Amino acid sequence: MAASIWQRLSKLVTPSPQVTDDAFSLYEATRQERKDDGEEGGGGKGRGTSQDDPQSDRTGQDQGGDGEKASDHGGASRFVQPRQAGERRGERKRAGAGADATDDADKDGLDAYRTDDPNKVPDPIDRSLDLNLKRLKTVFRIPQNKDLVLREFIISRDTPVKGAILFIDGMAAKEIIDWAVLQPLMLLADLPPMEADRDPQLGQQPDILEAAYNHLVPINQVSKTDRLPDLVKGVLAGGTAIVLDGTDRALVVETKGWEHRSVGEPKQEAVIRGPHEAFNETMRTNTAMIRRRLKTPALMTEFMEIGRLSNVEVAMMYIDGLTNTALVDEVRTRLKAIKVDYVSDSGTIEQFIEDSPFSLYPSILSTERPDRTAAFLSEGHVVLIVNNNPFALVVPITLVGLMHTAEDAYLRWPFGSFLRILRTVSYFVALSLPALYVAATAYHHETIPTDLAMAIAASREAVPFPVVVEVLLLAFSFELITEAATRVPSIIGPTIGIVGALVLGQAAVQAGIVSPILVIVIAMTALAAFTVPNYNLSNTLRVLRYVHLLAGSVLGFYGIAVVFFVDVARLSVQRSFGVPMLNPITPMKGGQGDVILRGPVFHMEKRPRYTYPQELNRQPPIVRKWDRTQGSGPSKGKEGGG
Amino acid sequence: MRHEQIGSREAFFLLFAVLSAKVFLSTPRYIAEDAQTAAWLLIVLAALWAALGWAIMVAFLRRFPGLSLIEAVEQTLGPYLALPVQLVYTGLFVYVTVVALRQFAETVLSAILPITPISVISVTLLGASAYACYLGLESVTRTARFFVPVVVFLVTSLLLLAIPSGARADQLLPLLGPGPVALLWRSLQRSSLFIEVLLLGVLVPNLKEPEKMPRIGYQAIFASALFWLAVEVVFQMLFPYPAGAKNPFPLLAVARLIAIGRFLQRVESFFIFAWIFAAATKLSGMLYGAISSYAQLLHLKSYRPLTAPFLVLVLALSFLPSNLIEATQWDRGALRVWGAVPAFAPPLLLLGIAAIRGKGGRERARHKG
Amino acid sequence: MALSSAGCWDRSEIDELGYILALGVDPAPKGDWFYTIWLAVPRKMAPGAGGGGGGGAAGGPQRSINVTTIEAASLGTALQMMNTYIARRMTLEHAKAIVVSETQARSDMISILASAVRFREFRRNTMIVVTRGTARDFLEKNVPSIEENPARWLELMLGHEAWNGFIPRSTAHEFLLEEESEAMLPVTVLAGINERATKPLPGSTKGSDGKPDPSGGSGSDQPASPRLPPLFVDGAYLPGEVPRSGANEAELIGAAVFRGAKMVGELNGDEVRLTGLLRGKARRFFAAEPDPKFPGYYVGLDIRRAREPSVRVSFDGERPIVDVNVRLEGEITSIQSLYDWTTAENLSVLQEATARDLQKRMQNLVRRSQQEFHGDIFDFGDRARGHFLLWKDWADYDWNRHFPQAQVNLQVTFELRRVGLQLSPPPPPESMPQPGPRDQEPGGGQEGGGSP
Repeated sequence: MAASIWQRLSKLVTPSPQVTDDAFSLYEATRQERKDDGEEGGGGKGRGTSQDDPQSDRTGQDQGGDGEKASDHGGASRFVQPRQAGERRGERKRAGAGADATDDADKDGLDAYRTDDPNKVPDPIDRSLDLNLKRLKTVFRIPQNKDLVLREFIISRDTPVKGAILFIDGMAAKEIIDWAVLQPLMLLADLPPMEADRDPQLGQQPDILEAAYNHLVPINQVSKTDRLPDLVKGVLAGGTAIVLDGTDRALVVETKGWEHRSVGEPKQEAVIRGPHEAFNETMRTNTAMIRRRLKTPALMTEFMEIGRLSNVEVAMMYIDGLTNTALVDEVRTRLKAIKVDYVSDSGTIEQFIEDSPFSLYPSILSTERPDRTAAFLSEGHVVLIVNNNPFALVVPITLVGLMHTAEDAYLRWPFGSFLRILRTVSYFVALSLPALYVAATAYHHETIPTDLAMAIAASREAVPFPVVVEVLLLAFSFELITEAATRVPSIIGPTIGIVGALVLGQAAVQAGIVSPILVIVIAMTALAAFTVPNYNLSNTLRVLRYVHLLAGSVLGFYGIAVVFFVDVARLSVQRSFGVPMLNPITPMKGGQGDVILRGPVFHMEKRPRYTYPQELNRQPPIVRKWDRTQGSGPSKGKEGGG
Repeated sequence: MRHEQIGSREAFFLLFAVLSAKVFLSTPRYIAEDAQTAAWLLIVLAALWAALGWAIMVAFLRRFPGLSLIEAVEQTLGPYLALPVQLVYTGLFVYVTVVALRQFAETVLSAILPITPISVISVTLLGASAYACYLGLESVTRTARFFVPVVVFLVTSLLLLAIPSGARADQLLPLLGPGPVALLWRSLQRSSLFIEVLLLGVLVPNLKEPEKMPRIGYQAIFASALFWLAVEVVFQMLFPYPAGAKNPFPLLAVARLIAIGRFLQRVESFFIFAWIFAAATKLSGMLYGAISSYAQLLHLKSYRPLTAPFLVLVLALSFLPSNLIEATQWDRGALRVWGAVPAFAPPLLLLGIAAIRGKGGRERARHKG
Repeated sequence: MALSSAGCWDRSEIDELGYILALGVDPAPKGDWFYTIWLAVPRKMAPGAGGGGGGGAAGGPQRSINVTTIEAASLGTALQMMNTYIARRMTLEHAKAIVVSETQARSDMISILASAVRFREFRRNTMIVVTRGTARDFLEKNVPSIEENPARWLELMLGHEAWNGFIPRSTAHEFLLEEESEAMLPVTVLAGINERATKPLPGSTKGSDGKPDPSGGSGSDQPASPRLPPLFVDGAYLPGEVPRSGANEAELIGAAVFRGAKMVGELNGDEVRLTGLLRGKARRFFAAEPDPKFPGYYVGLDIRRAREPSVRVSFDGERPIVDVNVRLEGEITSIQSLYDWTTAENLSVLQEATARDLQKRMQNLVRRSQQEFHGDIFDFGDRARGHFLLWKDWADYDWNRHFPQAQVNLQVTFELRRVGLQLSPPPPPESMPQPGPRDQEPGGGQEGGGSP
């Protein structure tokens, strides 16, 4: 364990040294390594694998069928095997023989039905409805599992056909099912067969499934499938499976509709001038919000599912022809490599795919604003949207990018610059103001003007602690307040503000525990920390503040300077998907007037280079052609005026 | 050995940082002692001599494109004869680092934190620099690129703020100080103030654009000379010879003089930041030079394992001088008098040897490469 | 946290230190020194905290500073010895001035300063004040009338060089530089205690017979300074002689001139002003010029430096020739005689008279510098440096040695640009006393006619 602690510590301090700073050539190296290691993914380090359950429902045996009592062999044990003698906790014996010697645990009994491996022969849908239903019941543990609704019906034609639909109550929109699935199938099915209903593979017989597909299911997204796992996946996603007797295919229709939060205001990234929309937990809404802003067919959305139990959809969006393909490939590779049971939040996914998980600085940006996301996409970034999560991930990102807000672009450029300068200053204030205060009052008294020094000395005479302890106490109290304010139930929320102000402000000062000047210092630090727009980054500052404080209290300004140097040194080798995070300060790749200050928007002709987009120019050099003061626009004639 | 690549502008900033950090030490003072009122002229002349030395180095390295100084020496003299020369270069880097470390630590002690044991300061300063070294050349150059503008800005504002406290341009007269002959001779000696430019020679294989190497060297020499000139001129305007030459910490003294109104006084503690940044970047650059040159000499695949031993070595050596005067003597008396010789003379000789050998050097490089 | 709160080497809490605001040095009979300090009491200086403690029963500091004296052999040991009765650790970081008594300055100034400068806490920015009498006296009797904090009084006073020019700006830094340059004589601020400040001004109270009492009530009548020029010039006083009453007993006016390490003479306030004009340091001040037409009355002027004085040095063999041109401009602030000086030709008369007056005074001063002080207090030597190519030649020439033989050609030009907010003054009333000596009884005076 000491070894692992040491490992973790050294990882915190030293990332694996990079060889070259060409972004994305890194990917070649890592991808090469991966190919050498064997197939992608894997990483079976003694992770638990259940033994091949001989009772697995591969053959569709009737296990937890209808009406049976829940037994130990019910759904539970198929999922988790009881620990065998001699096994250590958390480890299981690797499956020995068996058809699949992979270490993928067959946790939900669905392995047999997975379709990612095209070579595996999936279980096809049977012609017999009963058999299909039995299999479905087994997979979904119906009727024990009360979420599923299985509705059998009969399509009335000259030869009645039995059918059934399966959906999840709460995830499927029941009106659509009633009106667009059940109604036509049950009531309007009496249409004569048509030529088009012939399934060419089946010869001349009209196929009821084709008929249903063509005429009887008026829903905008319907897919035909001949595999059971597709049905299962579709139902789990909120669709409805329609299984008919006598055909070896089935339909999955799109009927998603569940209760969700409507599009609201951004909770973290509010702006004064700009749209007030934020992502919500429905991925389709989110992608739609982005689509509205990037109305180009080149905008691509690729889906992936992550997590064995969660199977959460993750959408990777990029602009084909603009975004660097190596970047896209790398993101895809890293996502696909996540083989876990459960992941649902973009924050967790962020930790799985980032470059330096042991560094204090974030290397992926998360935002809940669609306008920002669309802007990033247009600059050549790749965006990940995770279902059930209102935060989108943007890669790659630089430290400077973490300090930008959407408003900088919407305001006119002098005010954008002003805000940026303010934010930059507050970054350093939030980082080192308490440290500077402690260092100045403990080591460098001459720096303080005499009158102020006397005032501080007078006010500190009553305080029993040394400055450091005072600062730590007060900072800790502020952290308490911040955390409590987040966690407190909203009913008693306002009370906390009052309590906090009273406790910290007046009472502590009057009791002589802290000096009033310190309250100002800490309050300013807290305010400065809140101006940092990125939550991850402000947490970084929170932690680093204490490091600086420690250094300042031990060695004064010298200590702070050394710690700052070390900080920059560590930050200078940190990368975000291969891009050095201190771009474009160093190595310089041209910031196009959008780094610390914000230049006029009509001067930004090129995209920032650090995403290595395929197309650098984004607007012509002269955008305001009508403006006679700018370059060679066509003159407007005498009546043009000024 | 895999070589990280750095761009030309970053290399320039690194060189500038490494060459200019000495303005924070006693250097402006003993230049003033050498050249009396013509210190600025001494700097200019020394820079010119150093540029000459660099030209020799460039001429030598041109014969071995893409190879670093150490490797080029080996090409010329063969692996066994080259060893002492290569060790001289590594030793030069180590010496410069040791002297710089000790002087910076002493300065911090004398001026800011008198009671702290020097080992604490030396260890933290060198430790931070070694950390940057260990992270890689990228880290070393990028921190330089980041901090150099900060340092330049702080120093410039320091100088500007101090001028109202009594700077008199007349103090720079008489013009020629000790006389032209003395100036020339001393400036030749003091050209060794610029020998840190050798770092560029060691970094050749790390450059993305190796053909720009000569230009980077000249630019760095003249840019740092210009910077230094500004510091020296302001220093002498405020602390004229002969009184000024007795001040052991010139830039600190200038910072202490700043007094604008009743409010902006006693602010020298803020300039510690510039100081430490300059010190750390210089130490990390020079340490990297030492480690990298040694690794090249030993044909190691990676230089990183050497970081810890060199750290300890430099620390140990830095404790050898027993007081500030001795430490300054190591710098001013030995290194900066004779340093130009081992730095620039070998390339001259080797140039001769390589020329005598004719194309042998280049062919051998082609065979091996 | 244990490490950081236990105290790391150099760390000291801000309220553990005793801040010395001014330091005074006097020679002690045994060969060591008396050090007197102003020690700050932060509680009294803090805003809002000051008033409360005044009514405390026993002890407790009443003022915002403590004055204490100790005898010791060196500054460092003195500060440490003070810790035998003062709980806080002494620090000089905030010291504003170092005060040296005149007797010490006349015997050896340089050793005090040179050793102080080496001390890490001592700052070269500290003002040097030489006081007539003892430093201890000066520091003890210095109770400012407005400021709670005497150090502030000192700081503000010492910034007056640009405002009224009565004292030079002399920091330890400049003093040491000028001293070592051996091309000029450094000056420091002169201070003193005005014994008469506690008494009313002579002539302002009436004696028993109804006539103004020339002796000023009780106390002996101080003789006027022997060097006061025949024309009454405000500011031409040495410390201790300023005719005033009330407020702080301590005064700062004039300068002490040093040659080598010793003080060799004094300049009164007006002479310091003139030096400032010649050096280009004085910017602006008010002056009272005797009215050229009506002796006994004065014209108030606001004189400003128009440009830097041009100083040119040439050599006649070994003898330097210095041409100085002081260019001033100004404004009329008051006309006591009510004569209309604001017409064009009257203006030029007035400016001529003023310029001549200034020139005469400056010439006296230059002569004094050459003959009495044997050196150059105006730093003309700086302009002479350009004539030498090698430092060695300049150092060998030794400007201070040659300056007393130098020929100094002074020229003062003064231009009156403005006249204030009123053009011609109102015509003088019939009953206005005729121009004559001012110290006649008010209301009297039969000679002279009506208005001019």
